[in-house]
Amino acid sequence: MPRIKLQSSDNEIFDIEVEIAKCSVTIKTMLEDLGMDDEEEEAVPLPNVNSAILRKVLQWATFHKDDPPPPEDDENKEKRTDDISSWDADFLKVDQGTLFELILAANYLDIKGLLDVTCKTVANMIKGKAPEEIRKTFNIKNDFTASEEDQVRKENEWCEEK
Amino acid sequence: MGLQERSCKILQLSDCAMMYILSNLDATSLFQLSRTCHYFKNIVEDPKLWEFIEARKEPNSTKKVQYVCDRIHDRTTHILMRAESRYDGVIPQDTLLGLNQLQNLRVLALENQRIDGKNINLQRFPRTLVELSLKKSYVRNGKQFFHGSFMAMSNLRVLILDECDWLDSNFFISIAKYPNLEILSIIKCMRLHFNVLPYLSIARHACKQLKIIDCRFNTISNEVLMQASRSVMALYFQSMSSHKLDTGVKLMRLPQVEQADERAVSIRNESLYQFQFLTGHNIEELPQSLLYQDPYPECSCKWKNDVKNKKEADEAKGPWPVDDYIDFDIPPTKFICRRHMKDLKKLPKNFKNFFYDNQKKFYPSQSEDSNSDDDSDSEDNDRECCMFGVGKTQQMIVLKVREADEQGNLPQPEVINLFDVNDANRFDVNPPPRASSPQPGPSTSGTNRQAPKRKAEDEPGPSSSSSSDQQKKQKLPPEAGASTSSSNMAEPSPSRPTSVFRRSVVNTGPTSWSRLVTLNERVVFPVRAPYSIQVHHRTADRFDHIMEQIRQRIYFRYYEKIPQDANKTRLRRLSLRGYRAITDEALISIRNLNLDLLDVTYTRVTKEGISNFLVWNPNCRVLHPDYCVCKPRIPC
Repeated sequence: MPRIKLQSSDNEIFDIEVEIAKCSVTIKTMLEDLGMDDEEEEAVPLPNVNSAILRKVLQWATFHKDDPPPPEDDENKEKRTDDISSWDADFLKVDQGTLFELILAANYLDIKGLLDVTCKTVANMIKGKAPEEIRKTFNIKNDFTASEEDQVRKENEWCEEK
Repeated sequence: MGLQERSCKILQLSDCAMMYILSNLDATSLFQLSRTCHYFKNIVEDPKLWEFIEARKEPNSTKKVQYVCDRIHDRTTHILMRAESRYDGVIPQDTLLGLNQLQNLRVLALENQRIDGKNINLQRFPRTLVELSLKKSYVRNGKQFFHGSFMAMSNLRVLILDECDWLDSNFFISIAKYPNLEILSIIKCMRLHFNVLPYLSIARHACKQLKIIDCRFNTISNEVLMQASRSVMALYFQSMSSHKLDTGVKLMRLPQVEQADERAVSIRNESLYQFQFLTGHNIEELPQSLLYQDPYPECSCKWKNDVKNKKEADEAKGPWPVDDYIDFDIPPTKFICRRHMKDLKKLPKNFKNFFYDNQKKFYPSQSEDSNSDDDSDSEDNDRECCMFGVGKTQQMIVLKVREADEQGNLPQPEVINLFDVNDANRFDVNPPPRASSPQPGPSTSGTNRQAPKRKAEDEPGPSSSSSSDQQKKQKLPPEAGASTSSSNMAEPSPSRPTSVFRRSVVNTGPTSWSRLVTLNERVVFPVRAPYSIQVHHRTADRFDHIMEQIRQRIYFRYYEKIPQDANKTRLRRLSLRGYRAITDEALISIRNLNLDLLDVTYTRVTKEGISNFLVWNPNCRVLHPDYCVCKPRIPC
């Protein structure tokens, strides 16, 4: 089984199977474009991903390496966010900082499965909440002016009645 | 400081990543998000997020509805909205009028709205519409609303009109013109009441594509069932009284329904008699829909595992060897048709005794009232006996349909070798030499008075000249042998010679050795239909079942003339939930349909009746307290 070395932004080297690394479309195209030598000792630098996040990403990729390719998005289908597998749900029980960094890493490395499941997790944190609750969840600062705020409050009153 | 840092986290994401997250959100969440801060307020404006608008979640205040309506643009494909009440959060009329500009709109749900048919008319809706729901909405001037809508609705596949109190029976006339309608859901439409028959019969012939009719909690269920066309794949009915059992809420009936004749509105065993003549041919998948929720999603109760275990155990046993059940070394006179009962005294003693012994088995429910039926048939003095048997040594099924002569002598049995049956082309159907050879049949036992008489009747009718008749007589057997499709038999048959016994054999079975044996006999049967007997190697564990099937086919063919193309139905799912008048008898009527799903919960069907039914339909999912106990989804 051929292996490949990946280097994180803080210069840690990860020696993994090529098959796992190819979960990432970015790495896959890189390897295909550059040609892949078995004797290649050079590590592939990933300047946008630190070692902690890369370790998580590789953990996810190892678990999902045998998954079938994700189905094409069907426009006609309602987007579901409740179809996260239990392993993924456990895997994503992390603090928000890590979660967002995973999204950025998945986006950068172009791993659709991981991007989907992390984005769905965040979407689930937003869904069904009133604006104030969303602000609390993500510590978003309310930067509306007083008059704008007035309108929002009026809406909230209505929500609370419900 | 730490707090400040955390607050930045979500806002630090790139716009691109943020769009991924937002694309997973429904319109309600986007609306709420837009009111948290300026960043979100601006980013949710992206038109891409407003192509698929699912805005049915609460809150459905007027303000949110206005916000969502303002973001509908001409590339929007889906609009799903629901008003809080008919006075709060209703889509403004301008927006509704503007819908006809949307040339990409495919799915539209206007739930709980208040619409005036004077101003809003379906015919102005975009022609691209594939699915439309008006669930719980109130439409004033409904007639005008539907008027002339068939052009605009030419692509409509799904129409949901659940809980539309205003719906009048004549809306069936409007929707009958929708050429592509596949799913029609009219749950709890209280004003549809039991005089819809004329409308339905028109709709039946028009809606050729209709595949699912969800007609639960309606008073018109019985009529819909009676009028459902053969192309319908799923029929869902549930009695009003069982609504409380499933949901805990009693369903209010309108006064005129209360007065309705209970017999007219509830489904009874008789309603299912029509299916006795039908067999299922399940080839298609049920149509899928975004708006229409399948009331019977996959089974989630413990019954699922039971079935799985049973199947595995079955498979472990291996395929069923042929000899295992063709194991009857009995006289071939096993069965006599009912019409012949009064002639029993003419029959040989051993046959008579055999018949009396088995009469109950052959005619379980009809032996008592047989006299009245016989009277109605007495003018027709056909006499025939049907005998079937299997010789063990030869491994043959013997099928015989023949007249008994005046002395009650039964002709010699004719045999069809099962192994020949397998090869339809090889099986030469009763070649002419045989007919003239000293074989049994009217030629030898021709002393009876019927055969010559019928000959005289038939000859002038079917053929114009006797010479051509002769010619055709020679040609016939190969033709018949090759007639592997039943449609061949449907055409009028001037070429058929009189008093030549004719059988054709068809093999179209799905499993390796399931066979269709068809049998056609000129003298006895006025209807030129093949009698198909399908033997599933799993179900036919006892020969009795084959016998019963043969008996049923022949018996009912005899009394009812059914057009050839009408003996197949696509029906795969049937729900009769809550109709107390349904008993085991109903299951007998529908057992040839090869159903995938049958809901007989809250009926009087017994466990025993279902287990008999399952012998015929081993793959059917039956919902009943003793079987699958999943509850169907009732939209609320």
